[in-house]
Amino acid sequence: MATSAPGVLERNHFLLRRLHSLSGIVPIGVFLIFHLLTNSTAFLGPAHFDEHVHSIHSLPWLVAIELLFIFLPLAFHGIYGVIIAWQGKLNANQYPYMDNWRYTLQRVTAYITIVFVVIHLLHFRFAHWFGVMEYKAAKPLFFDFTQQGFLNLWLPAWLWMVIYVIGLTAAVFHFCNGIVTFCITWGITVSVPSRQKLSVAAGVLGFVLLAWGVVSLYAFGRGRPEVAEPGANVAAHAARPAGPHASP
Amino acid sequence: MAKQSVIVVGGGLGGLWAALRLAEAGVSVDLFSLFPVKRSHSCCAQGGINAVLDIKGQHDSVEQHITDTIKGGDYLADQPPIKTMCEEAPGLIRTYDRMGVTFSRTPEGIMDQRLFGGVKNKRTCFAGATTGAQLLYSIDEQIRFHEAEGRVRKFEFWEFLSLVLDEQGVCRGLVALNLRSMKVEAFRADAVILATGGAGLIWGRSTMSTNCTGAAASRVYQQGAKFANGEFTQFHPTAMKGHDKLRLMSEACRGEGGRIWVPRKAGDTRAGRDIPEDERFYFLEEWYPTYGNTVPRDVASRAIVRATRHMGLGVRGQEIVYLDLTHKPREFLKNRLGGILEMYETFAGVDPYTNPMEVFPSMHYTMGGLWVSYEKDGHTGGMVRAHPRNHATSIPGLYACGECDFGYHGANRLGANSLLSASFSGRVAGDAVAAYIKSLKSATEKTPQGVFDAERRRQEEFNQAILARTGGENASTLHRQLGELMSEHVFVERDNAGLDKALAGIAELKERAKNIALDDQSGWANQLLPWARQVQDMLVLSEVMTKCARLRDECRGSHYKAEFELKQPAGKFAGDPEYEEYTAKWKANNEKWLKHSIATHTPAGPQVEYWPIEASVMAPEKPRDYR
Amino acid sequence: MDRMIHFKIKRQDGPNSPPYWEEFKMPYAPQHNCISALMYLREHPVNIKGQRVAPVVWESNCMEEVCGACTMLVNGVPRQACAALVDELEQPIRLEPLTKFPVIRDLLVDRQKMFDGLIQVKAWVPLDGSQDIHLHAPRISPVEQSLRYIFSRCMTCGCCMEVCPQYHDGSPFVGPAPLGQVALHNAHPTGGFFKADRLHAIMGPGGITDCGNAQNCVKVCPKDIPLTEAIGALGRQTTVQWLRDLLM
Ligand SMILES: Cc1cc2nc3c(=O)[nH]c(=O)nc-3n(C[C@H](O)[C@H](O)[C@H](O)COP(=O)(O)OP(=O)(O)OC[C@H]3O[C@@H](n4cnc5c(N)ncnc54)[C@H](O)[C@@H]3O)c2cc1C
Ligand code: HEM
Ligand code: HEM
Ligand code: SF4
Ligand code: F3S
Ligand code: FES
Repeated sequence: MATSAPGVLERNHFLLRRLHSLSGIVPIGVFLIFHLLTNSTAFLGPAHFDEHVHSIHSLPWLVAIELLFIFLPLAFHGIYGVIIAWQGKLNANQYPYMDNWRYTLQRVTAYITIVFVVIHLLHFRFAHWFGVMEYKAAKPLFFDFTQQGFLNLWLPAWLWMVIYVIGLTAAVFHFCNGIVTFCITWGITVSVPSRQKLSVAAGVLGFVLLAWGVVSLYAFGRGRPEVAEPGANVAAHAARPAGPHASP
Repeated sequence: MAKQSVIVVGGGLGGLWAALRLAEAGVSVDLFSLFPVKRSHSCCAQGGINAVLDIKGQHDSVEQHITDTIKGGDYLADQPPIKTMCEEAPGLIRTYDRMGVTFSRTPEGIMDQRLFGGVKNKRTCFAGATTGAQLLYSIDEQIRFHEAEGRVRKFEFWEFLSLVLDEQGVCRGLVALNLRSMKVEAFRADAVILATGGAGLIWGRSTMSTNCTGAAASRVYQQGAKFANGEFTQFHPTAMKGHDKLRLMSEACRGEGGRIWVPRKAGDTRAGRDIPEDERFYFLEEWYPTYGNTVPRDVASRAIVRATRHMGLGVRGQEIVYLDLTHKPREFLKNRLGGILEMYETFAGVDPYTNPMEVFPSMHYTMGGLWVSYEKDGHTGGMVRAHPRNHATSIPGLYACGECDFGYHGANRLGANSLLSASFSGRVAGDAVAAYIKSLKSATEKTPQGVFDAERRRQEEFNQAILARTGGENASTLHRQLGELMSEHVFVERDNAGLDKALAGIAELKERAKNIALDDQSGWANQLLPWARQVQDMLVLSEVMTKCARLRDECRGSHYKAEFELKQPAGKFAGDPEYEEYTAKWKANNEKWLKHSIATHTPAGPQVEYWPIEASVMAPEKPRDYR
Repeated sequence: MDRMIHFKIKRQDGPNSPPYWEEFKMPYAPQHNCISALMYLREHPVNIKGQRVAPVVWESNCMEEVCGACTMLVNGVPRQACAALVDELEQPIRLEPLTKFPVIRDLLVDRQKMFDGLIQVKAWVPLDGSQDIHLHAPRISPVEQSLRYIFSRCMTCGCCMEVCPQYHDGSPFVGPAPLGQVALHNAHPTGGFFKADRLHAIMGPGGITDCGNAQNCVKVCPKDIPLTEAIGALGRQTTVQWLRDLLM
């Protein structure tokens, strides 16, 4: 092992592992909470949603913020996470303890989440690379933009819904179970009872996040006659009351 | 002179202490063991380790510890080493404490002490119910530190086969068998320390670990080392029966109120708990009204044998008695004896809280062992520190410590004194060897290679001969039969007719052992080959033990022949003429028998002679009397 | 009276030989454990087909679950075979060598890695020599003693390592048992002087960060050692140590 001088990774092993752990909570976890919360406002109506999205999109230095607080951490957490997940030899079938299932699912959901996130980003954030769904142009009418993505892009809507429910569930489980393991990793919960209490709290959070996600999917996916035709998003916008921040 | 090196064989408390002292002295140590040293038999000890700390307001004193040990051993041990051991015990315990042993604590955070058999004061330090393991682990950790620093090299999964002796008969190293590759190799060393533990397996099954065969001691005995007091082995009254081992049910069970009984009706087939009170025979309470169930180990063992073998009252007609704790509240038992009762439940599959436990005496400890010397300090009456004669065997350059030597316990060992003697003797042996190799006139480097090669070849040929044989005796069968023989005749009670039978039986087994053939001819991790050799070496040692027992016509400590018993006059004490007469008889008997029996190997069997004991600390004026 | 004990034993002639299963039947007797049965089979090494074969190779010593030598998989679970009572096991009883350690032969494995791990984490209380210095260790309260006592019972048996999905030949992870020993020695009043050394030893690759919180280890430990609590506590200690290293 100690034959060659340790490389950068080895020398900073502890730091990297702790950053991986931390990045799962801040910023990625925090982002997930806000992201799902924002999405869930779609359930209250397109206007609500657009309003929220707009307030986010009008943050200064948005690209920098996104890069620094979302894409980079996510890329780091995801890629390093895959490396970590690779190192485990799953054995829950042989030792089916509940904690072992959670450990196993943390790995399984990590793989699912990384696939999901890639699909998801291509779906919404970078679809314009393929010449569809012009992201920038969609700004004020984000609800419609999103709905288009679900109803009229590449795959049948039901399949999108299935993919999103899976991705959502995986990400939420991964995050909430991650909170519990995070607290062990950092020595926040040491005793078994404290871990059990935290597990319950994390479970509750999980249900909330899941509910937010599901209602937003419902809101986008239930479909409305006005947007049934391709390319009708502008018309759809005209057909409903404009949000307070709608640009002229 | 090149850096000197020493080989320590055995990694129990004795071996590890010796290795530690040598490593600290800057000597490089090669540590040999059959398995990782952390798994040595010392880890089985539960009860505790004795040292006078006098923390219970009982005015306990080192003098009292010395007296108890000498008397406990029925005066049959050389006293200067006992004196030094008891004096240094508190220091040894302090050192263990510094090593991080998790000794049980008083509310004030100092080490707690409890009461053990054969003494009046609380003198036993303990770490929960796993004292031996805790001590072993802590010193194992110290050795691991020296291993990390390169001062100690471990040869685990190596079996010691024989010593390499030069033309002058000086020990220059050893030959060992790699238990994986089955390669036999010779190793050089300026001295060898043997710390290979007890020999319980000679009785087939015992409370000892299954690697306690005594084979290593037997091998050096066969190369000329003298074996002392072989007839003295301790039989613990209460052990569980098992196919593989007789698991110890600690003396503490009786200490906490356990009662021993058998059904009054011979061959009663009812379960123990279904037998009504008035059909139970509490023979210890009936026969020894004063002490009842807490009579000393040897007395209890003898009584149990009497009730079962002579009176035929064993449980279900077998050699079993009940050790009953069911009358005690569950909570109380859990607190005091939890660990032990759990073990009973695990292995018997029966709940000891509601069922009386089934036990019988078992071989437990070998007081006898390799004869070792010491240097007496004329001023203090103890041992001279770090003297090369301490713990030296009769072969120059070979030292012995731990249970495989014969020091400290005489004819009977007190509870919790052997963790002490194993640790202490290891420490002394380490210091002694450090001094010995300094004084060595010619270093082992100069010993010609031929001497080593010759011994290696001898051992290889021995192995080849066994491996080549097909269709012959099975070593396990011979071992089982040896165990049956020893348990029948060389047990708690002995008589000369029985011992003669045992000697004849052993001779026959030795003959048959020459035809041992193996079911495994593999040259890789072959466990039958070392086992076959161990069985042969056990036979040699069993002959020593039996012969010494046959020759000793008296009762002393654990060695009991009814025919020669000097009965203490009941109800009479010192001052009474009848008692004085008894004392006079006892003294006359001492004239003849208060001597070490020293066995020397010859092709015709053991030659036994008697060497005087050194009683310079406490003259044998008063008979042992626990009334 | 024809009751038999039926064994299915996974055998392997040497480190590089292929494993194979062999079955044995022996007469029933009460209170047999797996090792006492193997001892019987050593004397009567006849397999179920009636062939006389080389007896099974295994390791054992104390026969009372304190030395840890006889650890193997009994019906798929790692435990001390000497304490695995035949009467309580489903037959045929499957005996297999531990899978996380190199097999030497049959049920005998090489657990040297575990002892190396103890060196790696410096699991000892440094002494200035074993001579009597006429002083005890500092006082230790009964509560602290009982905490340390639990950890000090570790017999290096390897059960916890066997079930840990993060511990295997492709991973540098030291495994849970040595981590428990770090917790033990850090909690000693003078052993604690060298806490930083031990923490540094587990902050690199293969150290505490390689635990994935599967928590199987704690479920199989025959000595009920609270390994996951040790891991939590060490998580905290390493975090603090890392900060200290950074700032001082
Ligand atoms: C069940 C039980 C409970 C006990 N409880 C207590 C107690 O409470 N208090 C007390 O004071 N005493 C107690 N004793 C006694 C005490 O445990 C032992 O006397 C003591 O541990 C012996 O230590 P040792 O170092 O001599 O040998 P061991 O610990 O037996 O070590 C022997 C070593 O020698 C090695 N070895 C053997 N043969 C060879 C060979 N051929 N080649 C290479 N290596 C070899 C082995 O690998 C091992 O490392 C108890 C004994 C038993 C059986
Ligand atoms: C993109 C794909 C992802 C992969 C491959 C991945 C992988 C992993 C892995 C393997 C772990 C376990 C680390 C360990 O046990 O040491 C982990 C932990 C964690 N992940 Fe992820 N993850 C991903 C996405 C996410 C997301 C989106 C979030 C949050 C919303 C998240 C939050 C967490 C948290 C909080 C932990 C716990 C950290 C700890 O135990 O210390 N992860 N991740
Ligand atoms: C419930 C279902 C979800 C819906 C409807 C949804 C919707 C969207 C939409 C519309 C965007 C583009 C909006 C924007 O750029 O502001 C987006 C971006 C994104 N989503 Fe989701 N999402 C869902 C779940 C998730 C999940 C589970 C994750 C997992 C981590 C996730 C991670 C992301 C990321 C990383 C971005 C890019 C963020 C950015 O550009 O700033 N989403 N999502
Ligand atoms: S922690 Fe428990 S399971 Fe692990 S090696 Fe120690 S005793 Fe065995
Ligand atoms: S099973 Fe392994 S992953 Fe961690 S919690 Fe235990 S060490
Ligand atoms: S033989 Fe020691 S634990 Fe089984």
